[in-house]
Amino acid sequence: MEKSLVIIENDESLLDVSAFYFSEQGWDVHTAVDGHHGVQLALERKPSAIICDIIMGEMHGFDVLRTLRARPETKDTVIIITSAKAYKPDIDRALELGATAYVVKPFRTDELLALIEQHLATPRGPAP
Amino acid sequence: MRVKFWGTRGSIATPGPETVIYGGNTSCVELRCGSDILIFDAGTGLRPLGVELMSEFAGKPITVHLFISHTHWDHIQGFPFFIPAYSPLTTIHVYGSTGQGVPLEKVLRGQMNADYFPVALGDMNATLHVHEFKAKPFEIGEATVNAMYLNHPGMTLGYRVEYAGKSFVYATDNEPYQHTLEHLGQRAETGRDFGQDLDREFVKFIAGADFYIGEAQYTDAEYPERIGWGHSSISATVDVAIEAQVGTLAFFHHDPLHDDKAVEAMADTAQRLITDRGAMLQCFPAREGQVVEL
Repeated sequence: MEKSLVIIENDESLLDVSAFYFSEQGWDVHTAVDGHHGVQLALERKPSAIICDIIMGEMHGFDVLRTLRARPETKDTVIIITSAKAYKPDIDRALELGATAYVVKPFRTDELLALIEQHLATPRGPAP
Repeated sequence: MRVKFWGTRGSIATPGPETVIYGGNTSCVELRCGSDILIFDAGTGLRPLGVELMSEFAGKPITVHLFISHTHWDHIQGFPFFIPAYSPLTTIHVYGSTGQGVPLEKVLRGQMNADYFPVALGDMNATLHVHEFKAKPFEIGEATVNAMYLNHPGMTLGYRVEYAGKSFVYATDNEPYQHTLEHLGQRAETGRDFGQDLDREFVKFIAGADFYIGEAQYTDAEYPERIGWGHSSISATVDVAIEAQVGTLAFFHHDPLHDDKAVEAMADTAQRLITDRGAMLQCFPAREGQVVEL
């Protein structure tokens, strides 16, 4: 089955680069430039994974994360937060809110892909 | 526009004989745009501002627009002591970002939980309207307000106000991305370059402002030990102000460890930088009680 990805990112050039790379790797990619549209898209598409920025107008990444983790459609989806916010309190809070991983920008798209693949191969769920 | 500094200190209130010139109250700045009252942050300086407003309005209705940069203690602790908030004749519009997955009103309510304070937010008699950040400019009377997110732990906003041909910026608790991404990120060199691009967005935000309240919590000697604390050095803030061609920089959010002499030494550093660069920037340390007409 084709893997699908929603990218929520307000930096349109970074969004284009990431979307192109994942499309070239065979992913079905959908994009949004703010949190509100990103949440709508994620709930409609129910993707295999979501990449989400934090600093965005119209709903920031922490609110996106809280909203998506509260919905059955996305409560277990791999969500990678990518942000230029490099502070430990921000990273800790994102992980508390249910982020699968937090990647400080700038990142390499091939490494991001490897991280997502790794998490997709490890299903989320309660610890035994 | 008229600006008045009610609190200029960062982190924690710092009263005492060594801070009497620049002040010990935490962040609070009043901006009058005609009859509209805009307030930036609700640090402990909000308490004396409330006393002043009660005296000025003397039983008449009061409407204020309170802009919260973020909800760290030094930016909200004055709110429970804002006397107009206890009057049914007062209307308070609060603006700010949601917290990290928590609505703004819930954060404000939290600091007035019975464990911390004897009066609940809901028991204040004023009419409270909370407006969360929508990333679009908006009007208050004849003033236009813009906001952008800054680089600081948590969700922190800087504000820019245009009114009657003048522009005012309040942007405190902000650290250059180039330093955090060089030192805290995964890739020092590309992180610094990426951070410089982001820092240019901030320069655009403050560009050409007549009056810029910008933070400079640390001396240049202190900053290397405090990278990642979410604040700027005096040189970084002066450099940004020069690059953005602002008219006047009031440096703000003085460190609790800095007495009046230390703040004045930072002003000397700033002036040397401005002279060395041949810039026209006016610069002074924000002083509690100071009034500036624009």
